[in-house]
Amino acid sequence: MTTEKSSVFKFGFTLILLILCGVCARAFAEEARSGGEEDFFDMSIEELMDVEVITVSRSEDALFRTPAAITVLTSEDIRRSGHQSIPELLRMVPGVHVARIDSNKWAITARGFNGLYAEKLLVLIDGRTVYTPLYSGVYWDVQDVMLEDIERIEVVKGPGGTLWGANAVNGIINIITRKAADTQGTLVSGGMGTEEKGFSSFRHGGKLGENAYYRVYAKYFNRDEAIYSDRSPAADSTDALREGFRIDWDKSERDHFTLQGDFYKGHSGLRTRMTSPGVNYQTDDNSDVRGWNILTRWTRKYSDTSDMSLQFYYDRTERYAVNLGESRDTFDIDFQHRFQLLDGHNLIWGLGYRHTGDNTDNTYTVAFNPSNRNEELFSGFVQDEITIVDDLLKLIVGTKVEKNDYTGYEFQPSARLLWTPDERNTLWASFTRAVSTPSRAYTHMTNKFNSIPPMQFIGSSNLKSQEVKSYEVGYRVKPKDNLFFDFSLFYNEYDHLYAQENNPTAFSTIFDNKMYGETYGTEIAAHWQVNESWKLAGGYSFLKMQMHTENSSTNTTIASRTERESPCNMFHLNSQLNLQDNLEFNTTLYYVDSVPHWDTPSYTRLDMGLTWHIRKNMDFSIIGQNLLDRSHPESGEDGVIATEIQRAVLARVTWEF
Amino acid sequence: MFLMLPLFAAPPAVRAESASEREHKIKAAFVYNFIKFIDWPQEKTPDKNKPITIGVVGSDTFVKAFDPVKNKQVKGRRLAIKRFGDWDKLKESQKKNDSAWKEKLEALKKCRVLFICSCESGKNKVPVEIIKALKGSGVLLVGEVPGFLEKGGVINFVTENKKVRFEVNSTSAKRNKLKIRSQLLKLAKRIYKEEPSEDAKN
Repeated sequence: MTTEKSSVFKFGFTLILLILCGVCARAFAEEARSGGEEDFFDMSIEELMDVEVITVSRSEDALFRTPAAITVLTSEDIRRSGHQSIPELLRMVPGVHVARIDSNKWAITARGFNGLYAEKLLVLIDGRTVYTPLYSGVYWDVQDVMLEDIERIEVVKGPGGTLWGANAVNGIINIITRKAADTQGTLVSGGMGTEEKGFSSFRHGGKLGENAYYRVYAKYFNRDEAIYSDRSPAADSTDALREGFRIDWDKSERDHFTLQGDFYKGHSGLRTRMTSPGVNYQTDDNSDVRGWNILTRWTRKYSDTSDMSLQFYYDRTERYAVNLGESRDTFDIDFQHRFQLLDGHNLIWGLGYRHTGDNTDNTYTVAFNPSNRNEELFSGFVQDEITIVDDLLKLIVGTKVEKNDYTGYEFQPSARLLWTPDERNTLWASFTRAVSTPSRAYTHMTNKFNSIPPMQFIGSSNLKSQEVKSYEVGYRVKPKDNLFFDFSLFYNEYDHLYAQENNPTAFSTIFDNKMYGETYGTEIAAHWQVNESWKLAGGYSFLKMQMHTENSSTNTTIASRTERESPCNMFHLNSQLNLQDNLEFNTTLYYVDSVPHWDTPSYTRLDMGLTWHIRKNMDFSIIGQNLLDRSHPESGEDGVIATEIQRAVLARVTWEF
Repeated sequence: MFLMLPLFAAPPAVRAESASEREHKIKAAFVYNFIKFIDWPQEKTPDKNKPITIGVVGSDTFVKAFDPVKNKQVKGRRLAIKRFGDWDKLKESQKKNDSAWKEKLEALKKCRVLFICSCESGKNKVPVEIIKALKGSGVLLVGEVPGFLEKGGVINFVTENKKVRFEVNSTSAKRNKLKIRSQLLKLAKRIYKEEPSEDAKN
């Protein structure tokens, strides 16, 4: 209880600190204009020519009118955050729970059901699906790109199965890198720190012809081991090398081609426990990870309302550790076409095919039966955006149909209503059904505990898909040009959730679909451009979960366990302040409620960063992370022994020429 | 295409380009400034009691940007705003060539300045029809779309590095008997001169 209190105290303390910073900032930046309309008419032409339009970009406007709970992290947010990896960046998204388990593992989800094996998110990098069909979760240690080349990260909370297909049950994370034409020249970046021991990246972009651009990049990092709760050094040191390229070619006004690929190789340390009655020992391990992928896409634009794209990718992943060995090849082909069918009907439809084949090792603790498997996924979707009243009311209806090798056909329909009375208000409501289809682990895996008598849990080939029906409403408002609020409310009904049941053949448990439940909650985001040199952004989310098991279920703990796996309240406040033309000061405060199942108390985290633009194209940053305590846990033992998150300092130089 | 936003929202591009109220407030202030540096020689003895009329083609949201003009004076004369509504509707009326159009045309010709928004129904197309109808009528035609000058407009706005710039068609200015003072001309990003033969070719 005392930790809770001290956490609240720290939270209050830093909040006051932030407000004080803000007051100082105002003093620094008092010359900022209020931007009122009369001002422009008092200006001369010369003065007017110096006013920035801040044109609302197409994507910004689209964002404001999206009928879903969406958050976008811009390249500026990413640069100023001080974070060094994609999973850490997601801390800035309201409603997304990021719990770092050790220095290379994260439990990440939106709207509940978190854990190392959280499996209700769809994650894409430049159109390539990166969650693993092994257990439908994401190996966050190998999802990386050059952060300087990210254009934006779009995060949708709530289901998006209609367009995106299976696994988009609780959210979608879409990482989009910049076109090669936007990353011309050379960029060198590197640094070191107490936890991020050494990191460097290099990128060079150039022209291949009249309308073709390329870039190549390489990055390497070496991350220090963390500590366990008893302060002993952990076994989780991490390093990774990554190389890649991207070519963009505008063949004509309407035809655009992209070719891109990546290769990576790394080591992710961990400590696991072999436990059961009578046996308890820990073992250190190192996952050897390796992979490569290549993607090509052709888009053709027919008009402002009509285009099509054809995409193909191949993706290879390998992961070898003491308790798990897996290699996997995935081929994916996708076609999409958007056009205006009749006046007021914007149609989008698509077809997709995916083939994935794996090869697993029979290890001491885990065996897959069969050990090799090829799976196919056929999908098609259609969605109609119906304009009911011009510029005011739209209805978006559609469905996805998928045929998978586990459960056959799955339908994922959605209906969204969008009301845009003016440029400053957007109201939306939606109903969606989405599924998470069974995966290899839940179907074919046997987890052997080394115990007397022997015990194991095994997968089931009779599993149904986990299902969610989601009801959402949202409201976005821009009361002023410099102020933005985004509210979303959801109520989700889940059915056929996985739970382990006693197996009549004794000494084992088997997966079944006997859990169901409801969740509800809210996410609130706010942006305030206080003046020309100071921007504040904040987020708050609330989540309540109520889980139940069917009467026939033998699992008496899973419902309450699931309810207790996610924090109820989360909050963050981010301040981006320009002290002078060449000096930036960034601060972010995070608060996350306790997670009872993991025994992790609530925590408050403060990150601060100072960036000095030494020259036009040269930056030097000093970043402090988790400044409020020496270390704290964010997750409990969940398959691997969790480490604590330590206070960290790092320095970084970026030079572009 | 595989990006999420266009898929989720798929807003017609038309709508997307329109959003910036701020941009139009800035452009309205530019137009107000232009009037100070332009003379209409045909008004040899301007009636001080008559306002200088600025016509605006575009939806009401954009016309709003010109609201502050109403309280301003230039060269001792009041300024007035005349709304002409959407370009699409205007064009339909023009096609029919009915009495309503003739009335509109008279009103258009009475404007000293006509600002044509290209942000909504016009969606980045040059309003050739209006330009033709007002050719040589003495109206200062202001647009905001590439190709506006080449088709006979007088001043065109372009955006460069998030800032508003303007360019001038000096031939068209002459044809409309507009005298643009050098202080204004020297601030233009580009001065465009029509080839003498171009008219003949067309």
